[in-house]
Amino acid sequence: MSKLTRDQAESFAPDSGTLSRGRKIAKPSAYKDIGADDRAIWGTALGSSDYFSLVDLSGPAFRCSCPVKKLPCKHIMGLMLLIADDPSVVTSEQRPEPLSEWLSKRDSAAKAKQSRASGEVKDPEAQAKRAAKREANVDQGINELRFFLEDILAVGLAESGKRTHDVWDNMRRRLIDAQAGGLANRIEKLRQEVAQGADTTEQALAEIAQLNLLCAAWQNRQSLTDAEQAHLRQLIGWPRSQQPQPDACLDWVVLSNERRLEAGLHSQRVWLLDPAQQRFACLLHFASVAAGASLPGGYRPGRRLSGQLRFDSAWSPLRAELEATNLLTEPTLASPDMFTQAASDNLLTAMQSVQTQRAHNPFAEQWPLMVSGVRLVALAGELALADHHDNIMALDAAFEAQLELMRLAGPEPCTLFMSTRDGRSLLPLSGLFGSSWHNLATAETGD
Amino acid sequence: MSDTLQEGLVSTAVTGLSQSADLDALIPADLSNTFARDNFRSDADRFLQWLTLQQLEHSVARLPASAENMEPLPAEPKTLLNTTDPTCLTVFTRLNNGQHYTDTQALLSCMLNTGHALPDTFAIAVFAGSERGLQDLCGLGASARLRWMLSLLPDWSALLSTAATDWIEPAQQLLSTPDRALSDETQDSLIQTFNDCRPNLRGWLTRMLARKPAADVARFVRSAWHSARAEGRTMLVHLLAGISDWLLSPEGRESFDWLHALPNERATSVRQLLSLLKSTLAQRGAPHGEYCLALKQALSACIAVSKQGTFDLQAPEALSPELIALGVADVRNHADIDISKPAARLGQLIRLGGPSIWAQLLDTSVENACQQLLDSRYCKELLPFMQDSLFWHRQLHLLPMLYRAANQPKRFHLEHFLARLAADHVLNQPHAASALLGCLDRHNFWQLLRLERICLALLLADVELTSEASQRCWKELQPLLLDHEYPGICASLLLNLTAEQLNQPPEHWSKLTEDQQILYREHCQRIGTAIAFRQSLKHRQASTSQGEHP
Repeated sequence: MSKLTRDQAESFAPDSGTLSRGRKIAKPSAYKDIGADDRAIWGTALGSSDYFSLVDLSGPAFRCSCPVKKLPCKHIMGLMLLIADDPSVVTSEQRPEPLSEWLSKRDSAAKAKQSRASGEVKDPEAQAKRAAKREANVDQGINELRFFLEDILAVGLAESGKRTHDVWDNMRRRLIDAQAGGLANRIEKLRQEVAQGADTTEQALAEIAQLNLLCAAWQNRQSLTDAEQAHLRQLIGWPRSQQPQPDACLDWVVLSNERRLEAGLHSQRVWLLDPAQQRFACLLHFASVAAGASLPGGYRPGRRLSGQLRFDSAWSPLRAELEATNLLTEPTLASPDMFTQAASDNLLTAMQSVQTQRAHNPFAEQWPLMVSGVRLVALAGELALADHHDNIMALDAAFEAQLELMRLAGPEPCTLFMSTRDGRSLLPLSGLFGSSWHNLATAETGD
Repeated sequence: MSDTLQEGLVSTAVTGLSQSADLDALIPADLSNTFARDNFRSDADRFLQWLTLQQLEHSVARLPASAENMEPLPAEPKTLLNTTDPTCLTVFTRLNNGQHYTDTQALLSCMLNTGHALPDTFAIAVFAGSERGLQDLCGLGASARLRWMLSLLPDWSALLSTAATDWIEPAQQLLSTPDRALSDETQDSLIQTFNDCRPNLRGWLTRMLARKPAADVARFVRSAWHSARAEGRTMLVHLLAGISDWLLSPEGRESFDWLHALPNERATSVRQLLSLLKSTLAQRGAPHGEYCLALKQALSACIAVSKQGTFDLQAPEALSPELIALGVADVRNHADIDISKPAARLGQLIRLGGPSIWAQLLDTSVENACQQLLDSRYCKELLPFMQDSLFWHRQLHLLPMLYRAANQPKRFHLEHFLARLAADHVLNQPHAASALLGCLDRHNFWQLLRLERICLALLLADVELTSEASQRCWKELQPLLLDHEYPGICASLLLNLTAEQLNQPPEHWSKLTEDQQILYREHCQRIGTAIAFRQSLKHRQASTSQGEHP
């Protein structure tokens, strides 16, 4: 029988509207044939017509015969809430046929994925040929990119900003043709920064430097270790590869959960903490709005998470994937001591550590750090963060939760989990205020 | 990397190498061998590599340091209001979800009445712009944290009607310690706020001041009178009406004399209210005095009693100096109701006279006199004046007769109008709230409670239905909940029912359709949440006073 709790069920809601609609129909009279077992729950929602709603708790994955694309829909939310509130509404443990079929399909897909991940190759010779061709393509793309960057500097950023979109788009398309999709995306980012003019000149220069460094690293790849090469390939556009062995740590703490909706794509960035070794990991999830996909839920900041992570890179382990979500485990909150013990006690030490890692791997988008005893101060009329030695750092211009931070922290020192993109400013993502852990990261649900 | 070098680098990158003076001059001496012209295929290549190296070094060398221009933020002010319980906040959020402005105001008023600070998240949303018109209320109920934020965010304090925050602390002291006397400093600050702020906040300040000792109230009124504008003065007169017993006592003699020595008032609204106050004081203090005799004479001229015992009303055709001296003004309107000038004059006389004088002139009991006036041809015109009179002369037990007269075909608008006037009285004279509730007990009060204005006014005055009254109201309400009638947050907050009473099914439950049952349950759930919200506030207040939550 399912041990789903109401909090867990609510955490899977794709947006507050669906949750509120789900709550309204979370009553026994709105469903029939409600069933549940250890793995799944199911029921028929009595709407304008009957909709068959299924939940695979091991995913979690959702399916409903209603026309709504965004899952879990209100029928599934209502069913989960109903069962969470009152397990006695379950009348059957016998799985209906459509559910069994769906679960077996999901099992076969998972097996296929696992075999792909384990590196089974059907035709090694053809694969080697394809790999060589791709490397040649990338070589060509990288050469063109270097010329393009030189050209930007020769004519100047001011003039490049006035260039037609076609000039930039041609370069982007050339990189896509050269199978270097990662670089193509960065060209689009660079175009936007150059076009914005004086405000983003420094960011544009930093991006040019990064792209040039990537080109140089690729051209000197023979001197890099396998792990470094794997990381580089991933940045250029090769599919993500994961470590063959999962990480040994089994007990993680969710630090923050940032959700964004950009260009028709939901994204979720979850930061995790390994309290034993005081290191961080990042989970990234994406879901297309057009396809009606939804982001995985259950990553409530401050909760403990039991599971194994598989990092992308052994060289600079940060991005990872959780082997299995833990929907069925009762969520327990991490103790405040766990956060304060994992935090540095001043900004200088924390930033020194970050800068050392940045020097080791200059390609990462952002670096996490956790500092205790930081407080809000004013610097030239703007809010900034200072530690007890009065070391001070500005807040990132992209930080949207200033009011929330002021409300929670006030003038008192607190422990903050933050990230830095440029080593100069800080983006608070969550923090320990009083005895509870609060999320400060953006949570755009697109309601 | 030095700032000069970074500036040179940025400027070269912006203008372009082709426009740049000399790349060699930009490259530091210790790097000139590495970046020699011979090592690169072009100047652009050389610049790109050098730029990359410098950017990376520059980026990873950044470390936090102390800054001279760092300013510590001010300390948080001391807490004056109780902190709201998290459970209560959850219920507030649930109740406030998608509610109308009036309902939100009702919920916030319940919190303020029990001395609780308003929820920070809600107040932040108000100041950040998603909620309009509640800024003053949120300022009044701001927690210590929110007051700290207000001191740092000038954009927020500009949203307050006074465009300043220095009034919040004295106003919160009024809220949290109603019995403590006002210091001179606090009084001066409050007078300034009273003159500068919007009517809503002025109403709140008046209600809070009305809870102070009578001597304090009189001192405030006398100090504030000369700087107050007409709208403020009307509230000050209501404050004096609230302490009329004290004014008639020996302690209030000085203020009584001050009131009668006031020069002629220019604003008609204030002039009328002052006359009403003086009239009520005169009738209670000197019923056989000169003023009362003149008033009776003027009224008797309008009432013709025949030998058969019937009577007829005649409105004064002209505004004579005698009528002006009594306090009758030359008006056509009563609030937003159109009345002819003669009827308005008669109405004002009736209002000034009060039920006891009506009874004396008609030579009958007060109830009969009231009924006879309602049966007269001027009934519709007289209703608002009669209601005013009953409030000012504290004869609220007669109100049901007025409401019965208003609750008739083609007089629907009058019922609403009277409810609005009654609400104004409740707001301006706190003693009227409980008296009105007592009167409603003897009336079909669900009829009136559904006019949300009265409910909101009672909530603002911190009144709640008694257990018995709630049960009566519940019996009247239950059949309506089977249809689409929901009493609204304001009325629900007035109810005082136990869970058992609330869950008791209505008559003929088994004969109801499934839709009706579902609707009824949903309504009950919302009413129950509203009741629990108010009860949790009271419980919290009781616990705090016992020292459980310091």
